[in-house]
Amino acid sequence: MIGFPLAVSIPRLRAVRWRYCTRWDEGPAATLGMSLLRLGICQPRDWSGSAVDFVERGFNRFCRQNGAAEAKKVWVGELRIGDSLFELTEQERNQIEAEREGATQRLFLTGDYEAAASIPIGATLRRLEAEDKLLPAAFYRVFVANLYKWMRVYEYVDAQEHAEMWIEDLDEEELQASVYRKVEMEIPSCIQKHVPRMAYKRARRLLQEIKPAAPLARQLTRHVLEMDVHGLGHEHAWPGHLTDKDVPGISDWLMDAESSRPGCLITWYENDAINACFDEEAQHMGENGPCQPNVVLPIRLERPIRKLDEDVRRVFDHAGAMLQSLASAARVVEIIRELYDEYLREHRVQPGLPVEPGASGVRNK
Amino acid sequence: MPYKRIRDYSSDEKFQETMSALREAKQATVTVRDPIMEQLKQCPDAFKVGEILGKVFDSFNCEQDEILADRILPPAGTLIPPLA
Repeated sequence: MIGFPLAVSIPRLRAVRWRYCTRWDEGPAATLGMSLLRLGICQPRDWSGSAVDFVERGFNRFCRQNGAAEAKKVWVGELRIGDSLFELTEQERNQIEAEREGATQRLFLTGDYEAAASIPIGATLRRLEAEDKLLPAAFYRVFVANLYKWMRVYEYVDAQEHAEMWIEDLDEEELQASVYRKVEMEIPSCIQKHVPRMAYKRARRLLQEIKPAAPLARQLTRHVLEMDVHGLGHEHAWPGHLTDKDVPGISDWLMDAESSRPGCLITWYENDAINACFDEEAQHMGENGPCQPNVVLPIRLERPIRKLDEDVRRVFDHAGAMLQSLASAARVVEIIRELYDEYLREHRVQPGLPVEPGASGVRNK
Repeated sequence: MPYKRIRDYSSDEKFQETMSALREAKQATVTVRDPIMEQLKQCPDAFKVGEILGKVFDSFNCEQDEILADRILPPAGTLIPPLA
């Protein structure tokens, strides 16, 4: 059939559901759906005749209520409920299902990023330093630690490691011309001097105590402290934390998989030495196997109702905290980008933000 | 310690109906074969087509709470192969 060129028309096909899923999907989704209904995350009105639809509607609403729309302004990725740690083609799925006896007894909530969000933080640090000499370090410490709860962060420390590895093979002349040398040189003194020695608790206390005069600096500290509140009691759910007892065969899979793709790239300025190191590493990410998801939380469906509900509650609490924290982080990143753009204007530098994101990160024009 | 009852047996009629439908869906995993599902399995690409169209429709519908299946449109000129 050919869609009518009118604003509203798609025929309703009677007795045909909006969506069809394989039998393997419906069973596990039904078990999870019952738990979500008991917990009040799904509601009777979500039922459309498909258990997968039911779970999806409840999950989508849950994500919206926890700030997914705001988080999506900056973070390019997805939270997914599935029975596999990574995406499968239909053929791969059919093959796995053909070999499996009975329905799957495990689902996973996975979080992953399709690209690293660009965070050029240099100009922001200078603004914060004008308020208090310890404020940039405290801000950086709390901001990055909270991002780490939900994603792999690529920052100057990663660039330093990358540079150290390659510098070994360079002679003096090559070293002088190399970008690796600049990684160390470009670290702002407010970071180099204070961050490595600043404990998280001290950094948080400083953020609470220092009252910046500038409104943007006040907003930055407020949103970063919000991230701290949302992330309280949560640790990063890396796949590496799972054992074969949690997920049979996970250790073999982890051996073959590569590290997670970073969810963000923190540079001092766009196209600096950190950016260059990231670009080099990004070219080879995923070449030797699938990249591990950033976040994995297993749900064991075979458990007794009470335990299953506790499991599901724990997983959804984690997802809710992650979304709320990333929504606050998105506000921080938007201010950081605003300050960076202002810096570019002041220094008469062409913004030159690519419409098509490069490997280095994503930033909409 | 007294057994704390889980809110599985709400007196709410809708809740009960939904729970019952989900129990049936769970059983269907091993017993029921849906004829449309069987046809789709013959052609895995149909899943991909459905997924792509689903995303198109969702983009029209991203601000809505409910899926308005009967009011959503494909873009003019979209060709949708029949299911059977």
